[in-house]
Amino acid sequence: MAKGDRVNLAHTTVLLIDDQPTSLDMLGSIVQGFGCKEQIKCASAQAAVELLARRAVDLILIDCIMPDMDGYEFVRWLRRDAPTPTRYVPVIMILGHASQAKVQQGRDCGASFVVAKPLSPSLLLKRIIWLGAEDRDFVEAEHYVGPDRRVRNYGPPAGTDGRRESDLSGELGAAVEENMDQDDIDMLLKPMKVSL
Amino acid sequence: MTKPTIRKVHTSLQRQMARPGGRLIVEAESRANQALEGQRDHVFDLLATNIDAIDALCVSRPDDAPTQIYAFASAMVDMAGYLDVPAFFEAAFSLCEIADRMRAADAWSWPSIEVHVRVLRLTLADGGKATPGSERLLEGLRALTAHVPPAG
Repeated sequence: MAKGDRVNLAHTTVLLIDDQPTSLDMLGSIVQGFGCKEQIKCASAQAAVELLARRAVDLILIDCIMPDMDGYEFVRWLRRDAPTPTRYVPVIMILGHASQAKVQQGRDCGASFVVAKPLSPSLLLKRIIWLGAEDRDFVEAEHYVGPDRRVRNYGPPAGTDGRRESDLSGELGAAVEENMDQDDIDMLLKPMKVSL
Repeated sequence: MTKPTIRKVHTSLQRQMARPGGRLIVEAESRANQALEGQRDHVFDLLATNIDAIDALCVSRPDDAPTQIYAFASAMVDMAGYLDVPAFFEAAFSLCEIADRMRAADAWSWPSIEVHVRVLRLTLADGGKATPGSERLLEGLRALTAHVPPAG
């Protein structure tokens, strides 16, 4: 982004959800600094569910870890059960510390971004600007509903210049092979020392 | 199994952000930082209160102390995570991590908690900044945490 670039959130309503009042106020201060038209604060995900039944918002910022309904459950509800177009609203989940069990649950919940603390206003604004500019498909499958997670591997559309052999297809179909087990997946992601 | 569907969605956020106007990005960031700075003293007071509460639990050691300590530490991570206090943030995060690991392994160690409390106090008193001194303290916390296997 260039120094002279602008961001226009003057028409945007943001929903902030966090059970910690001080964190909620701090997040509200950041959003106010960005120049958002309106911010609505909810101290629980359940309160947010009730609010979204009555009115629309343009962006949701939610803490991952909350008692009762946590951020992950909220996003799953939003993507599967909320009315249209609310179910498509971009969601940024904000993660402090998550116990290992919660991290497992959080995979594939359907958030647009998960950002970990420490979180600077600069980074949060970059993510919002990305959401405002991106054209990311919305996927509805049996086990996942949310923005297309293959965004980095998609490449240009088929038949156009610039596609790489490794770019994925936009077409989803039924799986043709057995699912990999978790150990295989972990091995693919694990950094390994090699001798050169 | 139902066939997955992919649809193009143009969100209201995209429509609104595409409108002309708004403020310079540097200005938006600067205003947000200023607003956070205005809350800094209040948040530091709350962080100190949480450290006191954990300290008190180290003395009274009730049965549910591990759960309470994790909750206090997690609240500190949440608050400190919006401020530029890297050393304090890492100490608070380390307390969350070790409390989570020790609960899961059923291997609770009060000295490990007490060491974290001391480091939290020292780094908070130093404004949460990363300094050579705080780095040495954090090295100690990393070594402590490494002794407990990760949960899960």
